[in-house]
Amino acid sequence: MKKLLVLAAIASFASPAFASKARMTALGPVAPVVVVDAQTAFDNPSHLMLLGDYVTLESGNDVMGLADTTPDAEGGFVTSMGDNKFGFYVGRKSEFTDGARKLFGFLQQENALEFQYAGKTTMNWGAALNYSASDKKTSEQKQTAIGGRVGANAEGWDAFLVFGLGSSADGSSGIAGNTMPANPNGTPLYQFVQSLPAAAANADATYKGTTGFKVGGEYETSESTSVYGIYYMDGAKVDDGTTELNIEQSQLDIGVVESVKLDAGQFFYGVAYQMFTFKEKETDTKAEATFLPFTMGMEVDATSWMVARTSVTQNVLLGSTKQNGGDADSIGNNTTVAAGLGLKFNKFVLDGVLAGSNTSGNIDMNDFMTQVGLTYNF
Amino acid sequence: MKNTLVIAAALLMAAPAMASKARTAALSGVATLVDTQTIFASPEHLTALGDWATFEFGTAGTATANGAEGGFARSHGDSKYGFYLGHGESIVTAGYPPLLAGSGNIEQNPFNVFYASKAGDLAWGLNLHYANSDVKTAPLKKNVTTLTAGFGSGAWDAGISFRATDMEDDGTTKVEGSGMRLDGGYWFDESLYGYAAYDSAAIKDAADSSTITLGVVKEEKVEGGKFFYGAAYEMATLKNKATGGGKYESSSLPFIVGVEADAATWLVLRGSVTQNVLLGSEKDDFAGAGGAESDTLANNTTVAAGAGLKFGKLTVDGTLAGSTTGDIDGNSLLSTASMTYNF
Repeated sequence: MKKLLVLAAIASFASPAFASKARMTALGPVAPVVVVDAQTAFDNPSHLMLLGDYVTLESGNDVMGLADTTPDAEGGFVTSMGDNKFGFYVGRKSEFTDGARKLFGFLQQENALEFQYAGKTTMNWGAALNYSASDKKTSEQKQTAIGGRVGANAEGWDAFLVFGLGSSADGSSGIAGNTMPANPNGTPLYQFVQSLPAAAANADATYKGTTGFKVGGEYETSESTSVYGIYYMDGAKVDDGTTELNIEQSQLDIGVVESVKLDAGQFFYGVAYQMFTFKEKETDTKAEATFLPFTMGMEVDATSWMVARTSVTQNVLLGSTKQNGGDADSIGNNTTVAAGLGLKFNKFVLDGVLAGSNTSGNIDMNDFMTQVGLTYNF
Repeated sequence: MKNTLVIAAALLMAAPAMASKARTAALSGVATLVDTQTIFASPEHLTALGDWATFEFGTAGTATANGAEGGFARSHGDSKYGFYLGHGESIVTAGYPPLLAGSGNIEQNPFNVFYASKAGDLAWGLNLHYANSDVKTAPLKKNVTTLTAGFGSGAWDAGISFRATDMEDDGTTKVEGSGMRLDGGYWFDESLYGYAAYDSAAIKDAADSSTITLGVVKEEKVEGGKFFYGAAYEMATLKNKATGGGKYESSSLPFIVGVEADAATWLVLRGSVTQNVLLGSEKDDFAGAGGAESDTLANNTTVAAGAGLKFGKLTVDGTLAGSTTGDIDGNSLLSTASMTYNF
């Protein structure tokens, strides 16, 4: 955990207390491995023990490629309680649950809330519980989602488990699209396109989440090198009276990252092997994909009041996609550059994405700061 | 190479480590440029640059255009190694100048591996470019491999690039490109640089082409930067091997003037103008119809401009998009932007 502590120190002092989806976006898919952030606490709540007390407010588009493209506001705070930490957060949603429910016309998670608690014994530990429920009698739709997270970290290692405790929704407004949600693991590398039968609104339709969990860990083989592994799976059963679907998807990531400390920040690069599988059991539909993305990035103090961060990711050498046992295609161009800024105003930090970094290539008034997050460090 | 090193050092000090497609575009790719973008053709330039990481903004490459790219170079003892993502080099994609349309199928997820070192005064570098894809459902196979070696010592520099494979196969048609490039330059004194290049490329059973370039650049130091001007004589020939046996020939004498200088401690401005002068003609009988006349070149005055914002070891470069519209406003400020960090 030494590196994480160092990085936390960097995050807390040289680049104080950034805590935003914008930061995660700018640093690319290995961001959760190379930084400790309020956002990484949503995988591993023990990270709260590596951060100070803060309030964070998020705006802008969802960072993880959720099918929902409207801004997903969220925010919360973390405060010390003696030697422990307590946090409360609103608006945080599950990628898979929210995406799949939207696809099938069910209520997405609404007004989600999360309680976080972390402490320290021989190691840092943390736990969190999230909950969302709603009942719209006028449209005959209701939903519930409950989940938990536990995690720990210590010198040289880090481990976590995120698990679903129940997800259900009744009453569909109809199937609106045909694109399955993006990869569940926070890296929108692959979207499986399945032609779904059109369906009208149906108050009797049901959505029920099946086994869903994400387990992962990181181990430092040296002061600058970390290896990590993450396995995620999630699924749902959908029944609208005429069509039954039983979807399941999983992803395994195994990677290595080298992080180089700079004068006021860090430079990192690494490669990961990723295996993604999607299944729809009723129609025996299957999609498989493998990737070998290389990522490099950096986060440095550009001035005393501004932190710049950027990353580039691209698949190299290995990788293919295959649907329904058909031919395997190599991975098409997916070079992605992301960049962002963190502006420090005393105890306030305003983080944003330079939108042009992965779209137009421009830095102008239309593409300056997007997906903005505001954090106050007590 | 000595002068190149001096100039590189001057660049590193006066305008430290700008490194971008934007910079290259703003300076119209002047032959004396030493930049992270010049290491693809002259990998020995790695030894004249520090350690860096660069990120070029944009989307992932589309069906017809390359986009985002980025890479880094680090020291390893007295040598340098580098790794770069997303920099496309296929000629089958673009066709070869000026008449072949090209397939438009860009290479998929290309990468480059660099290694450079010095042996006494001799700097040398190698660049391996590789991209391979096989989209069976399309179908479309594509493979591009190029090898480039560059050398420089004292006042001279030279390079050779060999296109080992440049192939695409859509199951019906197989297109194969090949070619090589030889180039060299010599500093006659501390400010006068002469250079020559021979570029040969072919699309099998379609066309052969060759381009010869002879140029000279005068580069003068100014406070916080440099001013340059020069001219190059370019002769291009393209033979149609597919139908008609036609031939395209062109010659041009583009004149270039440019400047790059610190406008403030945190700002570098750069700009250039190019235009053909005096000599230049184009004779297009590529389709083999016969009777084509030789025409002088039409207006081609082009102004490019850009800016580099320096934040300590970090530089943000961009072209001033308004150099084409005449505007510099909030909607057309910096385009083709990039971010570079010098370790």
